[in-house]
Amino acid sequence: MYKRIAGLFNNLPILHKLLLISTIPLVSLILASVLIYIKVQNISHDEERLNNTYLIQEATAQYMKLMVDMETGFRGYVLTEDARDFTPYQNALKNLREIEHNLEKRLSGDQQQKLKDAEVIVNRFVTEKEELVRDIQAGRKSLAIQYIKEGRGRVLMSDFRDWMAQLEKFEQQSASDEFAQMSLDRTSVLLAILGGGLFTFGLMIGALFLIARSIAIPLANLSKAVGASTGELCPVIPVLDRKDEIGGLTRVMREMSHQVREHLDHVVRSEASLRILNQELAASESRYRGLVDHAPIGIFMTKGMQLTFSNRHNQVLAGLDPDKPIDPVTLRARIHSEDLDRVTSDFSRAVAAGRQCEMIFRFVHADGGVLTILSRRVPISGFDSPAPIYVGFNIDITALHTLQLRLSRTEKLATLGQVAAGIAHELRNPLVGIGSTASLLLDDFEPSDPRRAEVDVILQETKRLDRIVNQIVDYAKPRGLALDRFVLSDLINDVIKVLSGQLEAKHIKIRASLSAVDDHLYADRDQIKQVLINVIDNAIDASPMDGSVIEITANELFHHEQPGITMRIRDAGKGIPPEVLPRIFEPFFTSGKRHGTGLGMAICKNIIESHHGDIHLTSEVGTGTTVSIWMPLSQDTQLVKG
Amino acid sequence: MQASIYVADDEPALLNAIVKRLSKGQHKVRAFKSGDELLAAVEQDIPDLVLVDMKMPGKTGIETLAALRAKSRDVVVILLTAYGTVEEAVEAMKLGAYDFIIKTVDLQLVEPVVNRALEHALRRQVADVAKDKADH
Repeated sequence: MYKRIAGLFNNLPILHKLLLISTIPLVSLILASVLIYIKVQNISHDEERLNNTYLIQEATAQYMKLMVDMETGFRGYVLTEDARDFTPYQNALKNLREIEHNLEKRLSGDQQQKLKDAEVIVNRFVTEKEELVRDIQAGRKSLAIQYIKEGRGRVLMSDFRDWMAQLEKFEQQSASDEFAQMSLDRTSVLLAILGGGLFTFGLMIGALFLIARSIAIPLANLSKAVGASTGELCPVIPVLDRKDEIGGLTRVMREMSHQVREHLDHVVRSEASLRILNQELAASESRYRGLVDHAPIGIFMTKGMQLTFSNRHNQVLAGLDPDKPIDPVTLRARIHSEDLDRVTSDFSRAVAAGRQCEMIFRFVHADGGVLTILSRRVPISGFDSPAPIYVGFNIDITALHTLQLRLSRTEKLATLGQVAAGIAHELRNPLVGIGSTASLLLDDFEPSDPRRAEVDVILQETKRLDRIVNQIVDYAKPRGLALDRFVLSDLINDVIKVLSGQLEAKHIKIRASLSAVDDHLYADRDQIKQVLINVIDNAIDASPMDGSVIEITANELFHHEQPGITMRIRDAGKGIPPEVLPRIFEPFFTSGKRHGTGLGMAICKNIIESHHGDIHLTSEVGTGTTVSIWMPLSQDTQLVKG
Repeated sequence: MQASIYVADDEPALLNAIVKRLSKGQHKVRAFKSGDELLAAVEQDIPDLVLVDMKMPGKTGIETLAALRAKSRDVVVILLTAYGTVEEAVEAMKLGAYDFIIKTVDLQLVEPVVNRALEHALRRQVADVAKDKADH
């Protein structure tokens, strides 16, 4: 039953609930007020009756007094017989009648009946007096005196007094009753006030309880449910099965919480995917950065002409420390002074036109090293920048450039060699013809024949020509490499044996210090032997006839990041003038050697280069010449040179 | 011993020098200007030894060698080669040439090589005869 009422109450909208709740004490207040009003009315009624009782008592007393006045007035008149002395009697009678009339109105039924009894007494009292008065006026005063002496008037007054006593007793009783009633009514008013107040108070408490139960407690529970789940960002809201606003609120909140949870889940998922994306992005950036940083080409970016980024390799290309931050001014200072203006103007023109550009310039390192750089700069779109963004690539083409130079020289030499070889082939046959004929002729002469020496000159010169021809052919012939692993020191010993005659003739010693190196070479032994014979033969030739020393050293040395061995053959000869030095490896260049063809060093260079090696000379006039030959330890690719 | 030697070379001066030098050694030497001429002569008479230049107009030394091998298994063939074409001569030896001579100005190598080849041929003939006898 209670639950049903509570359920019905809960289903009411809050406004209705509040109106209903506030009506209950109001109604009870009105009821209590009505009750009190009635009670107060009773009291006033009681008072009125009590008052009436007093008035009656007063009137009867007055009545009694007027009777006394009348008796007194009558007696006075009787004594004086003066009409003026009769006036008090008349006035008293008149008043008596008024009071009588008044009393008739005030007294209830029973008392009125009693009043009639009193009136009879009074009327007899009056009638007797009036008869006596007429007797007096008629001169029969004795009757009146008789009346007085007998005290008949006093008897009547006594009767009246008895009546009055009875009435008074009745009225006393009535007043007492009225007092009791009034007291009762007062008590009931008090009870009504107190009871009504308490009842209203109770009702208000009950109403507040209902409000609390119906509104405040669910709200408090709701807030507790929301606040209690600290661990959970979005708590489960318990739905109340009610049709009022609170029920609606819980449903809305639950729906809201559900949506918030879904959104939160979505956010969490988004965050997770964002995290993954971030990780991927970071990984991608790291890959990109690694790629850019470790790319073997220089990569840089500019905003307009201003350098904004430079990767490690670009710093390395410029000969700067890759670990130090980019300094555009220093980087710029590394561009060869002859190239700087051209690079700047070309690039500024390209930037102004927003097109890509390509240029070749040189970086000069602090140690004097020079790198030839191919630089390509491409504008890239997609940046919100007033100045165009360029990405640039710097590629070290020094090796390519050197190779190109060498190739063009090689091509030139090859063409020259082919021409020379063609001539040599054509020359050989007639040379052999001359030589063999001279040789035959020489056999025909007697040993003492003086012409023999002349024919011998023909033969020797022919031989010399033949040697030159053979060297030209040797220089120009395709050079295949018969690669083999051999010990360098053994080869040098072989060479020394071959040249022993010449060495002894000039008292020259060879001092070789090769012990420190792993002197195993992988090369064409015969060709390297030919090179060493040629170089040492030249050294012997340059050395004075005083028993000087030719030093041969060999060390391991990295060249262009490739392991190899560097051999140095140093003589203490007259040296080569600086203006001649660059031409030493040119074919047919001769520094006036006694039996040179001018091809020896050119052939040496061919052989060393066909082994991917390097040969160069340093010389100082008066001090000596050093030939440095660098050979790689391995031959990855076989280069066949024509 | 006197042997029959045919020499083919397109260079007259050289050919003359070789012929004269070998003739001094009492060999019977015939000179030809080309491989074809030499092969035509071989049709008539097969020599003991043939010297052929590697590089000639018409048939080259190698081709001449091949044609000679088709006619006679016994004839000793020596190739004449210029400096720088030794590899070709070595190749020719694999095809059955006895040796090769690099054409130097004084032709000093010709006589020793020819003599050694003739001795070799003689020894082989003797061995063959002995073998024939043993077979019979």
